[in-house]
Amino acid sequence: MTRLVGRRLLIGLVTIWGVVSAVFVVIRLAPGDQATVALGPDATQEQLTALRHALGLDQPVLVQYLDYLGDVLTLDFGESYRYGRPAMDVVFGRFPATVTLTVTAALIAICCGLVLGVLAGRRPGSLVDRAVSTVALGLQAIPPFWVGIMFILVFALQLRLFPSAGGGTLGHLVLPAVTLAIPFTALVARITRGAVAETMTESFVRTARSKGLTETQVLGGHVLKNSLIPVVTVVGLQLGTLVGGAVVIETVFAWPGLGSMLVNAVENRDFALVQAATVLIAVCVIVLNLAADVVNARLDPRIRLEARR
Amino acid sequence: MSETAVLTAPTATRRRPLAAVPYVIIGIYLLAALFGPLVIDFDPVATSVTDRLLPPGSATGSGTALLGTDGVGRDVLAQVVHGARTSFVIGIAVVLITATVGIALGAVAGYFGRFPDLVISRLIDIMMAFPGILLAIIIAGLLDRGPLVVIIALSIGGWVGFARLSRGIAMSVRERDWVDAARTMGVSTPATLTRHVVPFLAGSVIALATIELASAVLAEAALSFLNLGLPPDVVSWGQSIAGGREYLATAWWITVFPGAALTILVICVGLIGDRLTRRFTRKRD
Repeated sequence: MTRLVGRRLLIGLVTIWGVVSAVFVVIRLAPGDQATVALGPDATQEQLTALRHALGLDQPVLVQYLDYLGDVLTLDFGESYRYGRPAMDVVFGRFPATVTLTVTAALIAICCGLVLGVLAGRRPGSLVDRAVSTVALGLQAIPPFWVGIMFILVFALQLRLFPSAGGGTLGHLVLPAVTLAIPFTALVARITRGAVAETMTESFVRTARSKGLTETQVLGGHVLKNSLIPVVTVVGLQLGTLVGGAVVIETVFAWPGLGSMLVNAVENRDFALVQAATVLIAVCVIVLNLAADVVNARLDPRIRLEARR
Repeated sequence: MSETAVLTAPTATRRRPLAAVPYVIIGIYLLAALFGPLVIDFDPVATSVTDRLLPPGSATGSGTALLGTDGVGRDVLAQVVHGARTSFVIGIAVVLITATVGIALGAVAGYFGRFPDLVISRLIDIMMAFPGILLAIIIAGLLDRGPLVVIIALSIGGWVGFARLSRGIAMSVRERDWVDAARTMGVSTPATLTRHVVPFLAGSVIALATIELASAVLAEAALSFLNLGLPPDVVSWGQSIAGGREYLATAWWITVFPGAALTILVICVGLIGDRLTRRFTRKRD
Protein backbone atom coordinates (compact mmCIF):
# COMPACT_ATOMS: atom_id res chain seq x y z
CA MET A 1 0.00 0.00 0.00
CA THR A 2 2.76 2.44 0.97
CA ARG A 3 4.61 1.55 -2.20
CA LEU A 4 1.48 2.12 -4.30
CA VAL A 5 0.94 5.54 -2.72
CA GLY A 6 4.64 6.36 -3.10
CA ARG A 7 4.69 5.48 -6.78
CA ARG A 8 1.49 7.45 -7.38
CA LEU A 9 2.86 10.45 -5.50
CA LEU A 10 5.99 10.40 -7.62
CA ILE A 11 3.96 10.36 -10.84
CA GLY A 12 1.85 13.15 -9.36
CA LEU A 13 4.90 15.30 -8.63
CA VAL A 14 6.22 14.77 -12.15
CA THR A 15 2.79 15.68 -13.50
CA ILE A 16 2.76 18.93 -11.53
CA TRP A 17 6.25 19.70 -12.77
CA GLY A 18 5.13 18.99 -16.35
CA VAL A 19 2.07 21.21 -16.02
CA VAL A 20 3.92 24.16 -14.48
CA SER A 21 6.66 23.85 -17.09
CA ALA A 22 4.08 23.80 -19.90
CA VAL A 23 2.47 26.93 -18.46
CA PHE A 24 5.90 28.58 -18.26
CA VAL A 25 6.61 27.80 -21.92
CA VAL A 26 3.18 29.02 -23.06
CA ILE A 27 3.58 32.28 -21.14
CA ARG A 28 7.00 32.87 -22.74
CA LEU A 29 5.52 32.15 -26.19
CA ALA A 30 2.51 34.42 -25.63
CA PRO A 31 2.61 37.82 -27.29
CA GLY A 32 3.57 40.54 -24.80
CA ASP A 33 5.21 39.89 -21.43
CA GLN A 34 4.06 40.57 -17.87
CA ALA A 35 5.47 44.10 -18.00
CA THR A 36 3.60 45.19 -21.15
CA VAL A 37 0.39 43.61 -19.85
CA ALA A 38 0.64 45.22 -16.42
CA LEU A 39 1.56 48.72 -17.62
CA GLY A 40 -0.75 48.89 -20.61
CA PRO A 41 -0.09 50.36 -24.05
CA ASP A 42 0.84 53.85 -22.79
CA ALA A 43 3.92 52.74 -20.86
CA THR A 44 7.24 54.38 -21.65
CA GLN A 45 10.32 52.37 -22.48
CA GLU A 46 11.91 53.32 -19.11
CA GLN A 47 8.91 52.10 -17.14
CA LEU A 48 8.93 48.83 -19.09
CA THR A 49 12.62 48.29 -18.52
CA ALA A 50 12.28 49.06 -14.82
CA LEU A 51 9.37 46.67 -14.32
CA ARG A 52 11.06 43.96 -16.38
CA HIS A 53 14.09 44.30 -14.16
CA ALA A 54 11.93 44.17 -11.02
CA LEU A 55 10.14 41.02 -12.26
CA GLY A 56 13.39 39.41 -13.38
CA LEU A 57 12.30 39.32 -17.01
CA ASP A 58 15.69 40.64 -18.18
CA GLN A 59 17.39 37.48 -16.90
CA PRO A 60 18.26 34.54 -19.18
CA VAL A 61 15.32 32.18 -19.75
CA LEU A 62 16.92 29.35 -17.78
CA VAL A 63 17.39 31.59 -14.74
CA GLN A 64 13.78 32.74 -15.06
CA TYR A 65 12.65 29.12 -15.24
CA LEU A 66 14.56 28.15 -12.10
CA ASP A 67 13.23 31.24 -10.30
CA TYR A 68 9.76 30.22 -11.37
CA LEU A 69 10.20 26.66 -10.09
CA GLY A 70 11.32 28.20 -6.80
CA ASP A 71 8.15 30.30 -6.78
CA VAL A 72 6.07 27.16 -7.35
CA LEU A 73 7.76 25.38 -4.44
CA THR A 74 7.12 28.30 -2.09
CA LEU A 75 3.65 28.89 -3.61
CA ASP A 76 4.61 32.52 -4.23
CA PHE A 77 3.53 33.58 -7.70
CA GLY A 78 3.75 37.32 -7.17
CA GLU A 79 0.91 39.81 -7.35
CA SER A 80 -2.09 39.56 -9.60
CA TYR A 81 -2.06 42.85 -11.47
CA ARG A 82 -5.87 42.86 -11.79
CA TYR A 83 -6.56 42.29 -8.11
CA GLY A 84 -3.45 44.00 -6.67
CA ARG A 85 -3.13 41.13 -4.20
CA PRO A 86 -0.86 38.07 -4.06
CA ALA A 87 -2.11 35.61 -6.69
CA MET A 88 -2.23 32.72 -4.24
CA ASP A 89 -4.59 34.69 -1.92
CA VAL A 90 -6.97 35.39 -4.81
CA VAL A 91 -6.89 31.74 -5.87
CA PHE A 92 -7.50 30.40 -2.35
CA GLY A 93 -10.35 32.90 -1.92
CA ARG A 94 -12.06 31.39 -4.97
CA PHE A 95 -11.26 27.80 -4.07
CA PRO A 96 -14.18 26.96 -1.70
CA ALA A 97 -16.81 27.81 -4.32
CA THR A 98 -15.24 25.42 -6.82
CA VAL A 99 -14.97 22.67 -4.21
CA THR A 100 -18.65 23.12 -3.31
CA LEU A 101 -19.68 22.92 -6.96
CA THR A 102 -17.59 19.92 -7.97
CA VAL A 103 -18.31 17.93 -4.80
CA THR A 104 -22.06 18.50 -5.16
CA ALA A 105 -21.92 17.52 -8.82
CA ALA A 106 -19.84 14.43 -8.05
CA LEU A 107 -22.27 13.33 -5.32
CA ILE A 108 -25.29 13.79 -7.60
CA ALA A 109 -23.53 11.93 -10.40
CA ILE A 110 -22.33 9.02 -8.26
CA CYS A 111 -25.72 8.50 -6.54
CA CYS A 112 -27.83 8.76 -9.70
CA GLY A 113 -25.27 6.92 -11.83
CA LEU A 114 -24.98 3.98 -9.44
CA VAL A 115 -28.75 3.58 -9.14
CA LEU A 116 -29.30 3.80 -12.90
CA GLY A 117 -26.36 1.52 -13.61
CA VAL A 118 -27.55 -1.19 -11.22
CA LEU A 119 -31.11 -0.97 -12.56
CA ALA A 120 -29.82 -1.38 -16.12
CA GLY A 121 -27.13 -3.95 -15.42
CA ARG A 122 -29.18 -6.38 -13.33
CA ARG A 123 -31.12 -7.43 -16.43
CA PRO A 124 -28.99 -6.83 -19.54
CA GLY A 125 -31.09 -6.41 -22.67
CA SER A 126 -34.25 -5.50 -20.77
CA LEU A 127 -36.30 -2.43 -21.57
CA VAL A 128 -34.87 -0.56 -18.56
CA ASP A 129 -31.36 -1.46 -19.66
CA ARG A 130 -31.87 -0.26 -23.19
CA ALA A 131 -33.53 2.96 -22.04
CA VAL A 132 -30.79 3.76 -19.52
CA SER A 133 -28.00 2.87 -21.94
CA THR A 134 -29.37 4.98 -24.77
CA VAL A 135 -30.12 7.99 -22.58
CA ALA A 136 -26.71 7.72 -20.91
CA LEU A 137 -24.97 7.62 -24.27
CA GLY A 138 -26.80 10.75 -25.36
CA LEU A 139 -26.22 12.60 -22.09
CA GLN A 140 -22.54 11.81 -22.17
CA ALA A 141 -22.16 13.39 -25.60
CA ILE A 142 -24.30 16.47 -25.05
CA PRO A 143 -22.32 19.75 -24.76
CA PRO A 144 -22.58 20.77 -21.08
CA PHE A 145 -22.14 24.49 -21.61
CA TRP A 146 -25.09 24.57 -23.98
CA VAL A 147 -27.19 22.48 -21.60
CA GLY A 148 -26.33 25.06 -18.95
CA ILE A 149 -27.61 27.88 -21.13
CA MET A 150 -30.78 25.94 -21.91
CA PHE A 151 -31.29 25.42 -18.16
CA ILE A 152 -30.93 29.18 -17.67
CA LEU A 153 -33.43 29.78 -20.47
CA VAL A 154 -36.02 27.35 -19.10
CA PHE A 155 -35.56 27.30 -15.30
CA ALA A 156 -34.28 30.81 -14.69
CA LEU A 157 -35.77 33.05 -17.38
CA GLN A 158 -39.06 31.25 -18.16
CA LEU A 159 -40.07 29.41 -14.98
CA ARG A 160 -38.09 31.68 -12.63
CA LEU A 161 -37.33 28.75 -10.31
CA PHE A 162 -33.62 29.41 -9.82
CA PRO A 163 -31.33 32.40 -10.23
CA SER A 164 -29.54 32.43 -13.59
CA ALA A 165 -26.08 33.48 -12.45
CA GLY A 166 -23.88 34.16 -9.45
CA GLY A 167 -23.29 32.30 -6.21
CA GLY A 168 -23.96 32.48 -2.50
CA THR A 169 -27.24 30.68 -1.88
CA LEU A 170 -28.31 27.07 -2.27
CA GLY A 171 -30.56 28.12 -5.14
CA HIS A 172 -27.55 29.35 -7.06
CA LEU A 173 -25.91 25.96 -6.71
CA VAL A 174 -28.71 23.85 -8.24
CA LEU A 175 -28.39 24.63 -11.96
CA PRO A 176 -24.57 24.60 -12.25
CA ALA A 177 -24.27 21.45 -10.12
CA VAL A 178 -26.88 19.56 -12.14
CA THR A 179 -25.34 20.73 -15.43
CA LEU A 180 -21.89 19.62 -14.34
CA ALA A 181 -23.26 16.31 -13.05
CA ILE A 182 -25.05 15.29 -16.26
CA PRO A 183 -22.17 13.87 -18.33
CA PHE A 184 -20.61 12.40 -15.22
CA THR A 185 -23.86 10.69 -14.22
CA ALA A 186 -24.03 9.14 -17.66
CA LEU A 187 -20.46 7.92 -17.37
CA VAL A 188 -20.99 6.40 -13.91
CA ALA A 189 -24.22 4.75 -15.09
CA ARG A 190 -22.54 3.19 -18.11
CA ILE A 191 -19.55 1.86 -16.19
CA THR A 192 -21.78 0.54 -13.37
CA ARG A 193 -24.08 -1.11 -15.87
CA GLY A 194 -21.22 -2.92 -17.55
CA ALA A 195 -19.68 -4.01 -14.26
CA VAL A 196 -22.98 -5.17 -12.75
CA ALA A 197 -23.94 -7.06 -15.92
CA GLU A 198 -20.63 -8.88 -15.82
CA THR A 199 -20.78 -9.65 -12.11
CA MET A 200 -24.28 -11.09 -12.52
CA THR A 201 -22.82 -13.93 -14.59
CA GLU A 202 -20.35 -14.93 -11.85
CA SER A 203 -20.84 -18.22 -10.07
CA PHE A 204 -20.89 -16.66 -6.59
CA VAL A 205 -24.06 -14.83 -7.58
CA ARG A 206 -25.65 -18.14 -8.45
CA THR A 207 -24.44 -19.54 -5.13
CA ALA A 208 -25.91 -16.57 -3.26
CA ARG A 209 -29.22 -17.04 -5.01
CA SER A 210 -29.33 -20.75 -4.35
CA LYS A 211 -28.58 -20.08 -0.69
CA GLY A 212 -32.02 -18.46 -0.70
CA LEU A 213 -30.96 -14.83 -0.42
CA THR A 214 -33.41 -12.27 -1.72
CA GLU A 215 -32.59 -10.46 -4.95
CA THR A 216 -31.95 -7.26 -2.97
CA GLN A 217 -29.46 -9.05 -0.73
CA VAL A 218 -27.72 -10.55 -3.74
CA LEU A 219 -27.53 -7.18 -5.50
CA GLY A 220 -26.47 -5.19 -2.45
CA GLY A 221 -24.21 -7.70 -0.78
CA HIS A 222 -22.56 -9.57 -3.61
CA VAL A 223 -23.01 -7.81 -6.91
CA LEU A 224 -22.61 -4.15 -6.00
CA LYS A 225 -19.49 -4.54 -3.91
CA ASN A 226 -17.74 -6.49 -6.63
CA SER A 227 -18.91 -4.09 -9.32
CA LEU A 228 -17.56 -1.06 -7.49
CA ILE A 229 -13.92 -1.68 -8.40
CA PRO A 230 -14.09 -0.68 -12.08
CA VAL A 231 -16.48 2.14 -11.13
CA VAL A 232 -14.01 3.59 -8.63
CA THR A 233 -11.16 3.24 -11.12
CA VAL A 234 -12.95 5.10 -13.87
CA VAL A 235 -14.49 7.71 -11.57
CA GLY A 236 -11.07 8.38 -10.10
CA LEU A 237 -9.51 8.80 -13.50
CA GLN A 238 -12.33 11.03 -14.69
CA LEU A 239 -12.44 13.37 -11.67
CA GLY A 240 -9.94 15.54 -13.51
CA THR A 241 -12.41 15.84 -16.38
CA LEU A 242 -15.02 16.96 -13.86
CA VAL A 243 -12.71 19.72 -12.66
CA GLY A 244 -12.05 20.70 -16.30
CA GLY A 245 -15.78 20.75 -16.97
CA ALA A 246 -16.28 22.95 -13.92
CA VAL A 247 -14.10 25.63 -15.53
CA VAL A 248 -16.52 25.95 -18.44
CA ILE A 249 -19.70 25.57 -16.36
CA GLU A 250 -18.58 28.19 -13.83
CA THR A 251 -18.21 30.66 -16.67
CA VAL A 252 -21.72 29.87 -17.97
CA PHE A 253 -23.32 30.51 -14.57
CA ALA A 254 -20.88 33.21 -13.42
CA TRP A 255 -20.18 30.93 -10.45
CA PRO A 256 -17.55 32.72 -8.31
CA GLY A 257 -15.04 29.87 -8.34
CA LEU A 258 -11.57 29.08 -9.56
CA GLY A 259 -12.65 28.19 -13.10
CA SER A 260 -14.41 31.40 -14.05
CA MET A 261 -11.50 33.27 -12.48
CA LEU A 262 -9.01 31.27 -14.57
CA VAL A 263 -10.87 32.02 -17.80
CA ASN A 264 -10.86 35.72 -16.92
CA ALA A 265 -7.20 35.61 -15.95
CA VAL A 266 -6.32 33.99 -19.28
CA GLU A 267 -8.34 36.62 -21.14
CA ASN A 268 -6.67 39.47 -19.20
CA ARG A 269 -3.24 37.83 -19.43
CA ASP A 270 -2.93 37.94 -15.65
CA PHE A 271 0.00 35.52 -15.71
CA ALA A 272 0.53 35.29 -11.95
CA LEU A 273 -3.09 34.27 -11.48
CA VAL A 274 -2.97 31.74 -14.33
CA GLN A 275 0.09 30.08 -12.81
CA ALA A 276 -1.33 29.98 -9.30
CA ALA A 277 -4.68 28.58 -10.45
CA THR A 278 -3.10 25.91 -12.66
CA VAL A 279 -0.84 24.66 -9.90
CA LEU A 280 -3.71 24.48 -7.43
CA ILE A 281 -5.95 22.63 -9.91
CA ALA A 282 -3.14 20.22 -10.80
CA VAL A 283 -2.51 19.46 -7.12
CA CYS A 284 -6.23 18.85 -6.54
CA VAL A 285 -6.57 16.53 -9.52
CA ILE A 286 -3.57 14.51 -8.41
CA VAL A 287 -4.78 14.23 -4.83
CA LEU A 288 -8.17 13.06 -6.12
CA ASN A 289 -6.56 10.44 -8.37
CA LEU A 290 -4.45 9.27 -5.46
CA ALA A 291 -7.51 9.01 -3.24
CA ALA A 292 -9.26 6.91 -5.88
CA ASP A 293 -6.26 4.59 -6.05
CA VAL A 294 -6.24 4.14 -2.28
CA VAL A 295 -9.98 3.43 -2.18
CA ASN A 296 -9.49 0.94 -4.97
CA ALA A 297 -6.69 -0.85 -3.18
CA ARG A 298 -8.93 -1.07 -0.10
CA LEU A 299 -11.72 -2.59 -2.18
CA ASP A 300 -9.64 -4.95 -4.26
CA PRO A 301 -7.05 -7.17 -2.57
CA ARG A 302 -5.55 -7.98 -5.96
CA ILE A 303 -4.34 -4.39 -6.42
CA ARG A 304 -2.76 -4.41 -2.97
CA LEU A 305 -0.94 -7.64 -3.79
CA GLU A 306 0.28 -6.33 -7.12
CA ALA A 307 1.60 -3.19 -5.49
CA ARG A 308 3.53 -5.24 -2.95
CA ARG A 309 5.50 -6.97 -5.67
CA MET B 1 -19.59 -16.20 -25.04
CA SER B 2 -17.75 -14.20 -27.68
CA GLU B 3 -18.75 -16.77 -30.31
CA THR B 4 -22.44 -16.32 -29.69
CA ALA B 5 -21.97 -12.58 -29.89
CA VAL B 6 -20.36 -12.97 -33.32
CA LEU B 7 -23.19 -15.21 -34.49
CA THR B 8 -26.04 -13.04 -33.31
CA ALA B 9 -24.58 -9.70 -34.32
CA PRO B 10 -25.76 -9.59 -37.99
CA THR B 11 -29.38 -10.44 -37.20
CA ALA B 12 -29.40 -7.86 -34.44
CA THR B 13 -28.33 -5.12 -36.86
CA ARG B 14 -30.81 -6.19 -39.51
CA ARG B 15 -33.67 -5.89 -37.06
CA ARG B 16 -32.82 -2.28 -36.28
CA PRO B 17 -33.50 0.09 -39.17
CA LEU B 18 -33.01 3.02 -36.77
CA ALA B 19 -29.31 2.16 -36.74
CA ALA B 20 -28.85 4.05 -40.02
CA VAL B 21 -30.19 7.33 -38.61
CA PRO B 22 -26.90 8.71 -37.21
CA TYR B 23 -25.13 7.98 -40.49
CA VAL B 24 -27.82 9.81 -42.47
CA ILE B 25 -27.68 12.81 -40.14
CA ILE B 26 -23.89 13.00 -40.33
CA GLY B 27 -24.19 12.74 -44.12
CA ILE B 28 -26.44 15.78 -44.08
CA TYR B 29 -23.95 17.66 -41.89
CA LEU B 30 -21.10 16.76 -44.24
CA LEU B 31 -23.07 17.93 -47.27
CA ALA B 32 -23.95 21.16 -45.46
CA ALA B 33 -20.32 21.69 -44.48
CA LEU B 34 -19.06 20.96 -47.99
CA PHE B 35 -21.62 22.69 -50.16
CA GLY B 36 -23.61 24.87 -47.79
CA PRO B 37 -21.13 27.74 -47.78
CA LEU B 38 -21.27 27.75 -51.62
CA VAL B 39 -25.05 28.22 -51.54
CA ILE B 40 -25.44 30.44 -48.48
CA ASP B 41 -23.21 33.49 -48.36
CA PHE B 42 -22.08 34.72 -45.00
CA ASP B 43 -19.82 37.56 -44.01
CA PRO B 44 -18.91 37.17 -40.33
CA VAL B 45 -17.89 40.81 -39.96
CA ALA B 46 -20.77 42.41 -41.88
CA THR B 47 -23.54 43.87 -39.74
CA SER B 48 -27.01 45.11 -40.59
CA VAL B 49 -28.68 47.29 -37.95
CA THR B 50 -32.16 47.05 -39.48
CA ASP B 51 -32.11 43.24 -39.41
CA ARG B 52 -31.20 42.88 -35.72
CA LEU B 53 -32.81 40.15 -33.56
CA LEU B 54 -35.43 39.08 -36.10
CA PRO B 55 -37.32 35.89 -35.13
CA PRO B 56 -37.09 32.76 -37.33
CA GLY B 57 -38.86 33.14 -40.69
CA SER B 58 -38.62 36.93 -40.87
CA ALA B 59 -37.91 38.74 -44.12
CA THR B 60 -34.59 40.59 -44.10
CA GLY B 61 -32.81 42.93 -46.49
CA SER B 62 -31.23 39.91 -48.19
CA GLY B 63 -34.05 37.33 -48.20
CA THR B 64 -35.79 35.25 -45.55
CA ALA B 65 -33.95 34.46 -42.32
CA LEU B 66 -35.27 30.93 -41.71
CA LEU B 67 -33.64 30.67 -38.29
CA GLY B 68 -33.76 34.38 -37.48
CA THR B 69 -30.93 36.87 -37.07
CA ASP B 70 -28.53 37.66 -34.24
CA GLY B 71 -27.66 40.78 -32.24
CA VAL B 72 -25.88 42.48 -35.14
CA GLY B 73 -28.27 41.36 -37.87
CA ARG B 74 -26.38 38.31 -39.15
CA ASP B 75 -28.33 35.30 -40.40
CA VAL B 76 -28.39 32.42 -37.87
CA LEU B 77 -28.87 29.68 -40.52
CA ALA B 78 -25.76 30.89 -42.33
CA GLN B 79 -23.83 30.74 -39.05
CA VAL B 80 -25.02 27.17 -38.47
CA VAL B 81 -23.94 26.10 -41.97
CA HIS B 82 -20.58 27.87 -41.95
CA GLY B 83 -19.99 26.76 -38.37
CA ALA B 84 -20.42 23.14 -39.49
CA ARG B 85 -17.51 23.56 -41.88
CA THR B 86 -15.32 25.08 -39.15
CA SER B 87 -16.20 22.28 -36.73
CA PHE B 88 -15.37 19.55 -39.25
CA VAL B 89 -12.11 21.17 -40.37
CA ILE B 90 -10.83 21.66 -36.83
CA GLY B 91 -12.17 18.32 -35.59
CA ILE B 92 -10.73 16.28 -38.46
CA ALA B 93 -7.37 18.08 -38.27
CA VAL B 94 -7.13 17.38 -34.54
CA VAL B 95 -8.04 13.72 -34.99
CA LEU B 96 -5.52 13.24 -37.83
CA ILE B 97 -2.71 14.77 -35.78
CA THR B 98 -3.54 13.03 -32.52
CA ALA B 99 -4.12 9.66 -34.21
CA THR B 100 -0.80 9.81 -36.06
CA VAL B 101 1.19 10.82 -32.99
CA GLY B 102 -0.71 8.47 -30.70
CA ILE B 103 -0.41 5.41 -32.97
CA ALA B 104 3.28 6.03 -33.54
CA LEU B 105 4.08 6.38 -29.84
CA GLY B 106 1.74 3.57 -28.80
CA ALA B 107 3.00 1.12 -31.41
CA VAL B 108 6.63 1.85 -30.53
CA ALA B 109 5.93 1.46 -26.81
CA GLY B 110 3.96 -1.75 -27.24
CA TYR B 111 6.28 -3.33 -29.78
CA PHE B 112 9.63 -2.56 -28.21
CA GLY B 113 8.64 -2.69 -24.55
CA ARG B 114 11.45 -2.01 -22.05
CA PHE B 115 12.79 1.55 -22.04
CA PRO B 116 10.65 3.14 -24.81
CA ASP B 117 7.57 1.64 -23.19
CA LEU B 118 8.58 2.95 -19.77
CA VAL B 119 9.06 6.51 -21.04
CA ILE B 120 5.90 6.59 -23.14
CA SER B 121 3.77 4.94 -20.46
CA ARG B 122 4.84 7.48 -17.83
CA LEU B 123 4.13 10.27 -20.33
CA ILE B 124 0.65 8.80 -20.81
CA ASP B 125 0.13 8.64 -17.03
CA ILE B 126 1.09 12.30 -16.72
CA MET B 127 -1.20 13.43 -19.54
CA MET B 128 -4.07 11.35 -18.16
CA ALA B 129 -3.80 13.04 -14.79
CA PHE B 130 -4.42 16.57 -16.02
CA PRO B 131 -7.68 17.66 -17.69
CA GLY B 132 -6.97 18.33 -21.37
CA ILE B 133 -9.51 21.13 -21.70
CA LEU B 134 -7.61 23.16 -19.06
CA LEU B 135 -4.37 22.88 -20.98
CA ALA B 136 -6.24 23.84 -24.15
CA ILE B 137 -7.78 26.88 -22.43
CA ILE B 138 -4.36 28.09 -21.30
CA ILE B 139 -2.61 27.44 -24.61
CA ALA B 140 -5.34 28.74 -26.92
CA GLY B 141 -6.16 31.64 -24.61
CA LEU B 142 -2.67 32.99 -24.11
CA LEU B 143 -1.22 32.53 -27.59
CA ASP B 144 -2.26 34.50 -30.68
CA ARG B 145 -5.74 33.47 -31.67
CA GLY B 146 -6.21 31.42 -34.81
CA PRO B 147 -7.31 28.03 -36.15
CA LEU B 148 -3.79 26.59 -36.02
CA VAL B 149 -3.35 27.45 -32.34
CA VAL B 150 -6.73 25.88 -31.54
CA ILE B 151 -5.77 22.71 -33.40
CA ILE B 152 -2.45 22.49 -31.55
CA ALA B 153 -4.06 23.26 -28.19
CA LEU B 154 -6.61 20.47 -28.66
CA SER B 155 -4.03 18.01 -30.00
CA ILE B 156 -1.69 18.28 -27.02
CA GLY B 157 -3.93 16.21 -24.78
CA GLY B 158 -5.71 14.23 -27.49
CA TRP B 159 -3.06 11.72 -28.51
CA VAL B 160 -3.13 9.88 -25.18
CA GLY B 161 -6.19 7.77 -25.98
CA PHE B 162 -4.72 6.60 -29.29
CA ALA B 163 -1.38 5.84 -27.66
CA ARG B 164 -2.97 3.73 -24.89
CA LEU B 165 -5.05 1.79 -27.39
CA SER B 166 -2.21 1.20 -29.86
CA ARG B 167 0.18 0.20 -27.10
CA GLY B 168 -2.19 -2.48 -25.85
CA ILE B 169 -2.83 -3.96 -29.26
CA ALA B 170 0.80 -3.76 -30.35
CA MET B 171 1.79 -5.65 -27.21
CA SER B 172 -0.45 -8.56 -28.10
CA VAL B 173 0.22 -8.52 -31.87
CA ARG B 174 3.97 -8.59 -31.20
CA GLU B 175 3.62 -12.15 -29.91
CA ARG B 176 1.87 -13.46 -33.01
CA ASP B 177 3.46 -15.90 -35.47
CA TRP B 178 3.49 -13.65 -38.50
CA VAL B 179 5.48 -11.01 -36.63
CA ASP B 180 7.96 -13.68 -35.59
CA ALA B 181 8.08 -14.88 -39.19
CA ALA B 182 8.77 -11.39 -40.47
CA ARG B 183 11.50 -10.93 -37.88
CA THR B 184 13.11 -14.29 -38.79
CA MET B 185 12.99 -13.45 -42.48
CA GLY B 186 14.99 -10.33 -41.75
CA VAL B 187 12.30 -7.76 -42.46
CA SER B 188 13.50 -4.45 -41.05
CA THR B 189 11.97 -3.23 -37.82
CA PRO B 190 10.20 -0.17 -39.33
CA ALA B 191 8.72 -2.39 -42.06
CA THR B 192 7.60 -4.99 -39.51
CA LEU B 193 5.93 -2.27 -37.49
CA THR B 194 4.16 -0.57 -40.38
CA ARG B 195 3.25 -3.70 -42.36
CA HIS B 196 2.66 -6.36 -39.74
CA VAL B 197 1.66 -4.56 -36.57
CA VAL B 198 -0.01 -1.21 -37.34
CA PRO B 199 -2.64 -2.67 -39.77
CA PHE B 200 -4.14 -4.58 -36.84
CA LEU B 201 -4.87 -1.32 -35.10
CA ALA B 202 -7.20 -0.11 -37.86
CA GLY B 203 -10.61 -1.15 -36.51
CA SER B 204 -10.13 -0.02 -32.94
CA VAL B 205 -8.41 3.17 -34.04
CA ILE B 206 -11.28 4.08 -36.34
CA ALA B 207 -13.72 3.52 -33.49
CA LEU B 208 -11.67 5.68 -31.15
CA ALA B 209 -11.15 8.34 -33.85
CA THR B 210 -14.92 8.71 -34.15
CA ILE B 211 -15.26 9.32 -30.42
CA GLU B 212 -12.28 11.67 -30.45
CA LEU B 213 -13.81 13.59 -33.35
CA ALA B 214 -16.90 14.22 -31.24
CA SER B 215 -14.83 15.44 -28.32
CA ALA B 216 -12.62 17.63 -30.52
CA VAL B 217 -15.69 19.31 -32.04
CA LEU B 218 -17.09 19.78 -28.55
CA ALA B 219 -13.83 21.15 -27.15
CA GLU B 220 -13.44 23.61 -30.03
CA ALA B 221 -16.97 24.87 -29.44
CA ALA B 222 -16.26 25.20 -25.71
CA LEU B 223 -13.06 27.17 -26.36
CA SER B 224 -14.78 29.50 -28.81
CA PHE B 225 -17.71 29.81 -26.40
CA LEU B 226 -15.31 31.00 -23.71
CA ASN B 227 -13.99 33.50 -26.27
CA LEU B 228 -10.57 31.86 -26.08
CA GLY B 229 -10.70 29.89 -29.32
CA LEU B 230 -11.13 31.04 -32.86
CA PRO B 231 -10.84 34.74 -33.80
CA PRO B 232 -14.09 36.66 -34.48
CA ASP B 233 -13.67 36.47 -38.28
CA VAL B 234 -14.02 32.67 -38.25
CA VAL B 235 -17.59 31.43 -37.82
CA SER B 236 -17.92 28.92 -35.01
CA TRP B 237 -20.90 27.41 -33.21
CA GLY B 238 -19.28 28.17 -29.87
CA GLN B 239 -19.04 31.86 -30.71
CA SER B 240 -22.61 31.98 -32.01
CA ILE B 241 -23.84 30.39 -28.77
CA ALA B 242 -21.84 32.86 -26.69
CA GLY B 243 -23.05 35.77 -28.83
CA GLY B 244 -26.68 34.87 -28.13
CA ARG B 245 -26.32 34.72 -24.37
CA GLU B 246 -27.07 38.36 -23.72
CA TYR B 247 -30.28 38.10 -25.76
CA LEU B 248 -31.37 34.82 -24.18
CA ALA B 249 -34.56 36.28 -22.70
CA THR B 250 -35.67 37.97 -25.93
CA ALA B 251 -34.03 36.16 -28.85
CA TRP B 252 -33.58 32.50 -27.88
CA TRP B 253 -32.98 31.37 -31.48
CA ILE B 254 -29.45 32.81 -31.61
CA THR B 255 -28.29 30.38 -28.92
CA VAL B 256 -30.68 27.48 -29.44
CA PHE B 257 -30.07 26.68 -33.13
CA PRO B 258 -26.24 26.60 -33.20
CA GLY B 259 -26.30 24.70 -29.91
CA ALA B 260 -28.82 22.19 -31.27
CA ALA B 261 -26.69 21.75 -34.39
CA LEU B 262 -23.67 21.04 -32.21
CA THR B 263 -25.57 18.71 -29.87
CA ILE B 264 -27.12 16.61 -32.63
CA LEU B 265 -23.81 16.24 -34.46
CA VAL B 266 -21.89 15.28 -31.33
CA ILE B 267 -24.55 12.77 -30.24
CA CYS B 268 -24.68 11.13 -33.68
CA VAL B 269 -20.90 10.87 -33.94
CA GLY B 270 -20.86 9.51 -30.38
CA LEU B 271 -23.50 6.88 -31.23
CA ILE B 272 -21.51 5.67 -34.21
CA GLY B 273 -18.30 5.67 -32.18
CA ASP B 274 -19.95 3.62 -29.47
CA ARG B 275 -21.23 1.09 -31.98
CA LEU B 276 -17.84 0.81 -33.70
CA THR B 277 -16.12 0.42 -30.35
CA ARG B 278 -18.40 -2.45 -29.39
CA ARG B 279 -17.76 -4.09 -32.75
CA PHE B 280 -13.98 -3.76 -32.77
CA THR B 281 -13.04 -4.04 -29.14
CA ARG B 282 -12.38 -7.57 -28.11
CA LYS B 283 -12.60 -8.08 -24.41
CA ARG B 284 -9.18 -7.10 -23.23
CA ASP B 285 -9.24 -5.34 -19.92
